[in-house]
Amino acid sequence: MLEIEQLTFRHSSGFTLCVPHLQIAPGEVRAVLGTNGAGKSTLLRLMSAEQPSRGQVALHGRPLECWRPTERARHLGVLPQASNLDFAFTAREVVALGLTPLSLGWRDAGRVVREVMRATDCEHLATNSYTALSGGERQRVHLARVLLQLSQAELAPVLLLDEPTSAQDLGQQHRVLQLACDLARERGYAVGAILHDLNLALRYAKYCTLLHAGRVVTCGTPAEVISGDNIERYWGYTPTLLTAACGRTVVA
Amino acid sequence: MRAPVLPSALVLGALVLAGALLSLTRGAMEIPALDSLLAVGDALLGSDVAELAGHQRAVILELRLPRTLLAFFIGAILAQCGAAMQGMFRNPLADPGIIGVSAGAAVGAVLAIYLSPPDQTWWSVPLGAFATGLATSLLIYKLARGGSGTSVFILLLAGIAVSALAGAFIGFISYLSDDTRLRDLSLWQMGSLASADSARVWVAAFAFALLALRLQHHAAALNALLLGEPEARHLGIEVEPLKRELVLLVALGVGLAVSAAGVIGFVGLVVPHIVRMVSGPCHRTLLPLAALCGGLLLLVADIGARLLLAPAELPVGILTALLGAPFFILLLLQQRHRTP
Repeated sequence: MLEIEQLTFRHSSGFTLCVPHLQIAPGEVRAVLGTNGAGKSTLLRLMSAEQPSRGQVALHGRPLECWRPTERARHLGVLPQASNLDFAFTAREVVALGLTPLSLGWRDAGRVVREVMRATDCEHLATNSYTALSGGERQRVHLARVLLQLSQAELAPVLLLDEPTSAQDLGQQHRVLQLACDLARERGYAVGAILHDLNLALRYAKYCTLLHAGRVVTCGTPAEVISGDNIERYWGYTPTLLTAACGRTVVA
Repeated sequence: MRAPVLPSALVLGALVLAGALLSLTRGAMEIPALDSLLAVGDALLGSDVAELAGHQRAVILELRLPRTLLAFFIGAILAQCGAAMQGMFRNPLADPGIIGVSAGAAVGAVLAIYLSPPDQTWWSVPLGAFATGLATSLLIYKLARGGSGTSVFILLLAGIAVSALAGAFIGFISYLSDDTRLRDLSLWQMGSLASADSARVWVAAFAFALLALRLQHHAAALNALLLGEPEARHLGIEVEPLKRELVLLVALGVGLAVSAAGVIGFVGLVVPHIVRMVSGPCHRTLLPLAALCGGLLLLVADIGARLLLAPAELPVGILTALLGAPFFILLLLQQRHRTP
């Protein structure tokens, strides 16, 4: 459970982000939506205490700064949008960096590393050099690393994803988000994901938070937040909302 | 394709041993190789097997042995400092001197050479080099520290600025110096292990052990740091205390190396890079292999420095660059061909 209360952040450029209240509960996938520059990535950085801010961010009821760093790392994982790791680790070694806050024996460690690599569909890349991987493969390797870091959590872990599908092909986009949903449903993960693709948010998120110019403008179920009005007002685009045969709304 | 770690370490260890034997048994004075080794055994075991004259024994025990050990320890220290800094800056081509400690140490040493009488430089130069090296790196670290942590960019820029300032200062002192001091200054700046004695060896051994233990302790954290500081924090690393300790350890290591042997460039820059190319970037293996490889490089360079123009001596700093730079360029070219 990650809870934000009265969060305020002012950037030197004048940009201000204000979030009076936001919660990501165990078992839910919450999509954070908004246009470029709305403050989504800033919000993610504040939620993971990467950037100091006014207000409080609490993980399982305890302020983030009160957690021991390794204990916090076992319960709060962040997948960055991109990583510029410039050293020739193998993909497995990059994933194994997720063992840093854990204390696993080498046999268990090997098993868990294989499991997370299989779950993120990068097991076949294990011995490849990280620097030779494609953008999408790198993103999945880092996702495996973050999942590894959360694999031994005693309480429901919180997984924050900054555009986890930005470098993925169509099939992988769905696999990555389906994995997030499965983790939320089966293991009680609280997932917060910044998404640009509204159709993915409609399909996989349980709740959505829409940011605009540093303010939360609306929160609710995907159907409530991703409405024709909201898309027109905040994205400046008049969408066609279709209803698929399965009953799901599609933004075109 | 990576070389397996244990065989690499064994090969390097054997080469270090061979280098050390060569360094002990070869020099300007002809001394039988076997007796040279026996003299060391005698000193260790308190026996009297070696058939050597007193002055020959003194050459082995008071000149060649300390010099051999000092070469290994200084090389190992510089390589470990290089590996640590490259990890901290996330730049495989970073140099320990980059945070300004080499330049700062050189200022202290140059000032000591200029100000103190020639018979006092044996203590004033090391002390000056160490003190200003440490002070400079602390100053740079303070300059680079902002509200939300240490900026690597500012740290690098501050290092460059301080190095430039130190260069100007050294140039000015050189301009003011008379011929004798100018020669001392130039020789010191090129680096030499000729001043090796048991005190310097003990200090270098202590610094080597401290660096080896502390850096190995932080190996996992250094690996995490390669992902970037935010990612390392997300992995539970306390980045600020880690960087503070790294800066201090490197200041200690490089300051001490500079004070004991002058400015010996290149070892800290190239050795970790070469080791990374051979056995991968993981610090658990990189740090000990770089230490062995750095020690070996300086041992070989020092043997060359003593033998090439014997009985005269070349500054070892020139040889480390001559040995390492072409190899480094070759490796870079190979890597460029491999990656499209």
